[in-house]
Amino acid sequence: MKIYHRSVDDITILDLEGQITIGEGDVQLREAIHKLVEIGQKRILLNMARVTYMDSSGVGELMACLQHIQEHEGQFKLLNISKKIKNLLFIAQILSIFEYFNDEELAVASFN
Amino acid sequence: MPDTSPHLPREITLVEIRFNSSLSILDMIQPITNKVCDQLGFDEDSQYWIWLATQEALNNAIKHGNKFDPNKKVLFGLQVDQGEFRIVVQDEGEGFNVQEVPDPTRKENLLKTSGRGIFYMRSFMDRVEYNTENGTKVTLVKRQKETDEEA
Repeated sequence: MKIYHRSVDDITILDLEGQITIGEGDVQLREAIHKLVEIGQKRILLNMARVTYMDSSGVGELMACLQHIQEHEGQFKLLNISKKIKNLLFIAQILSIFEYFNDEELAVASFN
Repeated sequence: MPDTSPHLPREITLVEIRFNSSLSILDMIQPITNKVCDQLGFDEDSQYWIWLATQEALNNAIKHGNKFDPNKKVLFGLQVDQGEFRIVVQDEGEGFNVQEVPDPTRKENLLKTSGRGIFYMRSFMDRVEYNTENGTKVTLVKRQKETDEEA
C-alpha cells in the first residue's frame, strides 16, 4: 500500500492507495499514524478512496489507529470509504464508532 | 518415501494446493479462487466476499495454526459437491476450540483490534465447518445458485 501525506490547515490527510490486509498495509498504516502522533500531528483524516480491499486485520488496524490517536487527545476521521468497506465495519457493529465523510471539505471543516 | 500427507477426495476436488506457511502465496491463490468462482457462476460481489472469507481462513492457518513455521504446510482445496462450493483450508497446528472464540459484536469486544476473522467467514459464507482432529481443517461452504432446469 502507498501512503501520500498532505496538509490542510493543521489537519493531516493521508491518501491511501492499495490494500489494507495482514502483512500488507496494516503495519504501514500503523507506523504512519504513530509517526504523526509522535511529532504532534494528531488531527488526521484518512482518505480511503483508493483502498481496493481490506480484511479483518485492516479493520483491526483502523480500530487501533482510532484508539491510539484518541489516547493522545487527537482526532481521527475517515473519508471516502467504499460500500464494501462500510459493510465490513457495519456488520461488525463498529461503523458508528468512526466519524466518516464522503466530502473532503465537510470532513476538514468538521475538525474545527 | 511414501506420501503420508492428507489428500482431498479426488471425485469432488477441482484444485488442491499444498504450500509453505507464507502469506505471499495468497497472491497466487486469489486468481485461482476467483476463476473457479467465475466458472461456477458467482457474480462479482459474491466473488469478493468469498475471497475475503477464504483469505481470513488462510491467514488464520498460516498465522495462528502454523505460526509462520516454514516447515509446516497448509493444504488448500476447492471442491464442488451437491450444489455446494467448498473451500478447504487445513493447517498443521495444535487446533483450537472454536466455541471459545469471543463474539466480536458483543459490547465488551467492540473496541478490540483483532478477533473478527471467524466472524467475517461466517458472515459471508452459508456455512463454516471445523474439524480439529488433525491440525485445524476449516471448510467454507457457499451454495451455488439454482439454475433453471433445461426443458
